[in-house]
Amino acid sequence: MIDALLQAAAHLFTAQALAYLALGTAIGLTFGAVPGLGGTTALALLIPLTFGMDETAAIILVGGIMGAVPFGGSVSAILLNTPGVAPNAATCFDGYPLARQGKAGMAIGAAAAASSLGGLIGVLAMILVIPLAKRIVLLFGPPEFFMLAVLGLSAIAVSTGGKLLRGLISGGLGLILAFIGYDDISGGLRYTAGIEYLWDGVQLVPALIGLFAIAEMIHLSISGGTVARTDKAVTVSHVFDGVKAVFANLGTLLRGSAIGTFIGAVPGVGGTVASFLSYTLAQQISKDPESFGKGNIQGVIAPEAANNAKDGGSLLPTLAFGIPGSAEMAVFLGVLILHGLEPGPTLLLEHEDVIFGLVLALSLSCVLASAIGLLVAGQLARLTRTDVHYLVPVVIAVALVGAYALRSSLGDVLEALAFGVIGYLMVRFDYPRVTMIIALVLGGIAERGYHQSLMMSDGSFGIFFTRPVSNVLLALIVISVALPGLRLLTRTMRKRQMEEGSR
Amino acid sequence: MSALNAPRSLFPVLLALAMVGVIVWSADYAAEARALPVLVAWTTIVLLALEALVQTGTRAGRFIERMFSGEAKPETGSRAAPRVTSPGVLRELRGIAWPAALVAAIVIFGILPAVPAYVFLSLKIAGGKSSARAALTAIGVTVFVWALFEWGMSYQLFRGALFGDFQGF
Repeated sequence: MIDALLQAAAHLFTAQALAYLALGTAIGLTFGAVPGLGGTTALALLIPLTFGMDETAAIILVGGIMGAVPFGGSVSAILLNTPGVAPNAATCFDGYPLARQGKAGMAIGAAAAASSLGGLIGVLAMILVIPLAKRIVLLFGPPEFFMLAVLGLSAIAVSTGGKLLRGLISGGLGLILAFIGYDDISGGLRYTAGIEYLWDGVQLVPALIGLFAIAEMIHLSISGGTVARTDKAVTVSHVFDGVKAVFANLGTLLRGSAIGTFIGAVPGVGGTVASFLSYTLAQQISKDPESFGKGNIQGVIAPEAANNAKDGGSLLPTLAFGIPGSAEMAVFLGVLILHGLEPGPTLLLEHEDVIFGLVLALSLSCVLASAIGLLVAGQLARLTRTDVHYLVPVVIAVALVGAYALRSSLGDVLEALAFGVIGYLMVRFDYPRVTMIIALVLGGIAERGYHQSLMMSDGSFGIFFTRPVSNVLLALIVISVALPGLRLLTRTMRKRQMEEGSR
Repeated sequence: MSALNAPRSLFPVLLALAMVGVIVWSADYAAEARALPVLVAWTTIVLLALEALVQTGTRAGRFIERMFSGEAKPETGSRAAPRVTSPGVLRELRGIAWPAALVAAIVIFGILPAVPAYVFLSLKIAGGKSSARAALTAIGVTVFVWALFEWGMSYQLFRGALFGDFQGF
C-alpha cells in the first residue's frame, strides 16, 4: 500500500500534473459557485477533453474538479444566500446571516478551512479502509453483485427527496436503455431497431452530457433571467478569523467529517443528507442552540466539513464495487471506463496506484480550492449573476462538440441531444435523473450477475437467497424500499399516541 | 384533472405504453436475452400504474403517494409544483428547438460554421442581445472550440455533409 501511495505521489508532484490539478480546481470552483451547474455538469462537459490525456492526468483533473465544487458552492451560499450545489444549502442558514452582519470574510474563511480539513479527513479514512474493503470485495460473487446493483438503485431512488416511486420508474427506464445492443449471453442484438449505432449499446458519455449538461441548459433557457437572481454587492475581508474559528471548534469539525465520511460511503445518501445531519447534530449538542440560524460560525463549519468529507467515503462503493453512490460518481465512473479502467474488485486489487492518485488529487484539490477560493471569492459570487442567454449557447455548443470529439461520431451528438430532451422532460415532470444514469451504469453489472448466478445454480433462483452476503444485501433492499412507508407508519403511531396522551 | 396537470398525468401512461412495446418487442429474442428486460419492463409498468393512480389525486392515489414519500403531506405528486411551472408549450419547444437546430447545422454544414451561426442567432433572437455583442461572443466561442479541440487536442472536427464529410451515424 505504501509503495502504491508513493507511486501515486510521484505522478502527482510533477509540473504537468499540478497544472491539471489547478485547472480542475478552477473549473470546480466556477461550476460549484454557479447554481444549476454543479460538479456533475462540469464532469460531463470535461469527459471528452480527458480522452486525449493519459489516465493519471485525467484522474488528477477530475479529482481537482470534485474536490473544488463543494467550496465553490459555499461561496455563493454565504454571500448570496444561493447554494451553488444542493449540499451547500445548510451553509446558507448561518453563512448568510454572518455575511449580513458584515462577517462574510470570516464565514468564507471558516468554510475554506472546514472544507479542506474535512476533505483531508474523509480521504484519510478512505485510505485506512482500503485494506478492509479488499477483504470484503473477495466475498462477492455474481449473486452478490446482482443484489448490490439492485441495492444501489433502490438506495438512490429512496434518497431522491420523497420521489421514491418516480426514482424507481426512472431506474427501470434506465435499465431498459442499458439492455440495448449486443447481448453477451445470447450473442445477438437486442432493441436496436436496425440502427447500427446502437449495436454497441447506449454510450454512457453522450448520455451523461445530454442528461446533465444539455438538459440543464434547456431548462435554464426556458426559465430565463440570471442564475442566482440577485444583485447584491459582496465584500470579503477578515478571512483568517474564520480559519481560527475552525481550530477553536475542532469538535464540530471532527464530528462533521466523521458524519460526511460515513454517509458518503452509503450509496445514494450523498452530500445533502450529510451536511444537514451534521448541521442538526451541531445545533442539538450546542450550548447555545438558539444562536443557530442567526450567524453561528459552527453552523458553517459543521455542514462544510461533512460536505467535503463525503467525497472520500463515496469513492469506496464506486471504486471497490463499481456502484456509484451519486450522479457525480456515475460520471466519474464514466471517466474511468473511458480510460480502460473497470471499477470493481480488479481495480481495487490490481490498480492501487490509480486509486491513490485520485485520493491524493482529491486531498490536494480540497486545500488548493480553499486557497484559491479565498482569493477570488468576490469574483466567484459575481459569476452567479451571469445572464443565462450567454451561458446556454456557450455550454450547449461546447457540450455537443465534446460529444462528437470523443469518438468522431455524429451518432454521439444525436444521442447527447436525445438524452438532453429526455433529461428536460424528466425535470419538467419531476422524475429524478440520477437513478436513470445509475441504472445505465449498473444495467450491465446486474444482467451479468443475474445470468452468471443462474448458470452457477443450474437455473435455480434459490442462489440469491441462500448465501449470507446476498441475504444481507436482500434485507437492505427490502429495508430501503420499505423505509418511507415505515417512516410514515411510525409518525402516524406517534401522532396517535400524542393525541391519546393529551386527552 | 386540470389542464395544467394533463401532461403530468399522461406522462406515466405514455411511458407504460413504451414498456408494453418493449415486452412485445422482446418476443423476437431468445429466452435468456429477454429474461431480465421483460422482468424490468413488467416491474416498471406496475410502478407506472401506481404513479398514474397518484396523479388522479383520489384517496387511493394519496395513500400510495404517502407510502412512497414517507410524508403525511407529501410535497411531490399531483398537487406539487413541478420544477418548471407551466412554462408554455411554445416556450418549451423553442428551448428544445435551439440545440436541435445546432445538431442539424452540424450535420449539414460542419462544426466550425454551425457553432458561430448558432451562438450568434441564439443570442440575437432568443437573448435579444445587440449584433456586436452576439458576433463577439460567437467568434469567441468558435475560437475556443477550434483552439481546444483542433489545435490543442488534435481532433479533426466534422466538416459537414455538404462538404462531403458524412459517413453515416
